Amino acid sequence: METKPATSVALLRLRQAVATAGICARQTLAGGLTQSLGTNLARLARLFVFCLLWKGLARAGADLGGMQEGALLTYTLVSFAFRPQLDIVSPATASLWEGSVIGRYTRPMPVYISYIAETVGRWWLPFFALFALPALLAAPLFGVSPLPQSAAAGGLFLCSLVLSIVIGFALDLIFAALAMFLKNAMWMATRIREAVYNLLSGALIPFALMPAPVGGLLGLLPFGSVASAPLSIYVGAQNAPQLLLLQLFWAVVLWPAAHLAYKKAEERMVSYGG
Amino acid sequence: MAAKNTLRTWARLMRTYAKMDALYFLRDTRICLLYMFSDSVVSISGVFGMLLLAGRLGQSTGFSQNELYFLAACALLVNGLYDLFFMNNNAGAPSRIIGRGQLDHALIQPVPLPLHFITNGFAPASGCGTLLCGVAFSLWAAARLPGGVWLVAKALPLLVLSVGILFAWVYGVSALAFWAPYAAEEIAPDVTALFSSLAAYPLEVLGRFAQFFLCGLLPVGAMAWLPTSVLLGKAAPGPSIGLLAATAAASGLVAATIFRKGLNHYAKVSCPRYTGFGR
Amino acid sequence: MQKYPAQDIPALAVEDVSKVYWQWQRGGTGKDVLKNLLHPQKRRVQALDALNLTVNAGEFVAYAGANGAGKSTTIKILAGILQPSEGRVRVLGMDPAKDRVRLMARIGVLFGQRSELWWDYPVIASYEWKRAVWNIPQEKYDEMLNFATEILELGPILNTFARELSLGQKMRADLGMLLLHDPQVIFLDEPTLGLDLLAKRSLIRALKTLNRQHGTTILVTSHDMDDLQEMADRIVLLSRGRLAYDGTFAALRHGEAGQGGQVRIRVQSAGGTLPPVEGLRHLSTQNGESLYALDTQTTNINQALAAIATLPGIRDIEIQQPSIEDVIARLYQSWAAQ
Repeated sequence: METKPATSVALLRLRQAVATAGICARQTLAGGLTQSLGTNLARLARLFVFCLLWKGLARAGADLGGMQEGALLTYTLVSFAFRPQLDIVSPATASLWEGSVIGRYTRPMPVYISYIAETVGRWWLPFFALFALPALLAAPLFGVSPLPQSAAAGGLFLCSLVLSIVIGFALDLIFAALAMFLKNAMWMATRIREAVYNLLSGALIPFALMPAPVGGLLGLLPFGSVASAPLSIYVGAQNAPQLLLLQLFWAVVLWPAAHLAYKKAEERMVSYGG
Repeated sequence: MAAKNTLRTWARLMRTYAKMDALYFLRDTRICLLYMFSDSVVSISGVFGMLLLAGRLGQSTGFSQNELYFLAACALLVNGLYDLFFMNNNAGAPSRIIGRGQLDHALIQPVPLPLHFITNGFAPASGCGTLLCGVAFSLWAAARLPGGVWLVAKALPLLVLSVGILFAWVYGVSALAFWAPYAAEEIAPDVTALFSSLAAYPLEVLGRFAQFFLCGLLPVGAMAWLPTSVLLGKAAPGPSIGLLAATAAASGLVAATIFRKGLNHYAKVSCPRYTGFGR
Repeated sequence: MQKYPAQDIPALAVEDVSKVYWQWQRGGTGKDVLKNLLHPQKRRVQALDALNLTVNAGEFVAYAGANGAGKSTTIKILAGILQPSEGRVRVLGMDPAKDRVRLMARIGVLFGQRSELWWDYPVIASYEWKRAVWNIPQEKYDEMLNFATEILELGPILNTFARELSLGQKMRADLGMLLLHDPQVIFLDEPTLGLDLLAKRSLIRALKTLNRQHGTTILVTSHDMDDLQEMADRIVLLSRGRLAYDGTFAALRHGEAGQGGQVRIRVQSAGGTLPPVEGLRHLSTQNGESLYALDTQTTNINQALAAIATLPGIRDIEIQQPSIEDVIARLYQSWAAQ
């Protein structure tokens, strides 16, 4: 049997991923700007109120756990702007729910690539174009700096963000596998996941503001590595190398676990989803 | 006569949906209990952040630590009441019904649409998890305050107004799905998230204008902060309750107008998509 | 309050109804997406075009047309879910757009592939829900439940969860639910879609019984013309939103698309070419099988058959009418070519 060189397979996969991401993005964007205006306004309002509250608290002399007002505002802004990357929700679980998971198995490409490409196309690109970019550009007008604490912090943030995405996809696959066994309780599990993420990831409330032992403990968990680590690095955390190492640890531990869990659930998933 | 008939229909529908919810509970009690548990976890984690902050922020918020607990408990009560009345059948997330093209199922029933929406989400069995947590938490928090547990009873009428405001905002914004069914399908959860994630924060630290903005124009502060401020004697009752009632009335009016416009649009174009998912 | 409309009021009256939709136009390229973000392109679609239709109480009407002809749009307008762009609609004398709530208590609508059953409940729980929401008196409910159970053979599935029903069972259960308030008019949008032969027959039998025994006015759409022919006496055909035909199936068959009443006669003989028969046009002969064409408008079919019977070595005679599917397919093709 003829085998294709690795580079041509990689190129093919890339083309497949780009085509899939492209069609997903077009589907979301095709209705015009007004179509997603409401959702983005709701996000913007939430960001605005959060910033207003942090400013108010800082000005009232509240103990911000050593964080400066500016850093806290930037942390919140970046958390909102990179939300899809800091909280990976791929179509794995939803497709199972809707019974459309079987479609991914009929495509001549690995299922993981389908999930990743759809995530990028359906959520990342429209979110970036219609919310993140305008929010980051408009932030200085409201006294919030969108810039990292330093160029080095910016560079380290990018590394941390990549690791965060890697951990996020692993967690998502583990969750999809778990959800497979929960069946009817899948919806419930998704809600718990969302709520726990909001609390344990540090995306909404920085760990620095929580009581020290609680913040310290949460920082060690995978959820903390997903959101709090890159955000803290962005605003100039001193312990960036440790945070990156911890992220690497979770990535190395979670990916094999995710692959194993997903494979175990796969057969059941396809028959149930189809 | 018409009002009497409407009341009768309301009672009949509430009875029916309560019975169906109980049937669901009894059919699969394990799942139902799990649902209640998940609702509780979701709601508690929504206000837990405030609890974690309470210790550190303390007096600088204008609220004592115990007062912050009571504020968080009131936010939980609002979520609990909303879940109790609107949790089932996506009644609390109408953008999904509209965006998925499922409104026709309601339109072929001989029931006025508003009556349908305020009754078919009623979940006294499966939707009471958050409320029970809210009641327990608020009793605990109120007992640590000078007003005692009676504060909870006093809070209820004000919190009903807060639920009304939330309901109006969810429906008003969800009407966007009439024009953009795909893009706005999930906008109702965005609105509830906007309100519930900010409900437990004290707005004492903000200026007067910001407070008015967040209680009247984008009324996240009307969820729990404004009622709690009145109950704890931090705000003048007359103007504050007046503002709460006016916000509820204005929100309801605006939402009804937008929703009606959306319905008129729907009557012209229907919904170009349909999915049975989530019915 | 008058419960039923006066006899001279038609069950359905559609007068000069037009309906216009706008469809989003989307390109596939990135440039199109960007362009579309600022200026979404739309296309005008005339779903119904000056449609006139009257259906009297107790009629069973088949409503057909090619995909996109406007069938579902008509049903949605009749049910008050959609408003016409122009024209006037009355159902049981009421304006569906204004009297939706009152009207829904007296009509029933079933969209094929959309179930009104509650997914996570046994069928009977959905029926009980309907009794409460439609405020059906217990006596009437019991009567209609018995009737529906009998004609739709619902007994074995009443206590089964809706999500566990087969497609055919679900359709029967849905139809049973539709009947509980004894609607005077029912609209069925493709009720036989996806059903197997037995399920179809059972459903059709039930609908005919309902129409006969209860005098229920039925308007049914389907793409299966044999099903429609079996159910209905009258067929209304739509083409691009316009009324293209309104009459009986028999008249349709004998019309232009039915090739003016032409039938074919296949004659199986012992062998060889048969001699000419008066009034029949010989088409072909192959392996002892001869094919003739006969125009029923000019030739008496009994006389022709008698003449064939006198031919030597005849083994079998078969009269072949054009199938209703063929007739309608020819119509659709001719409309599409216009």
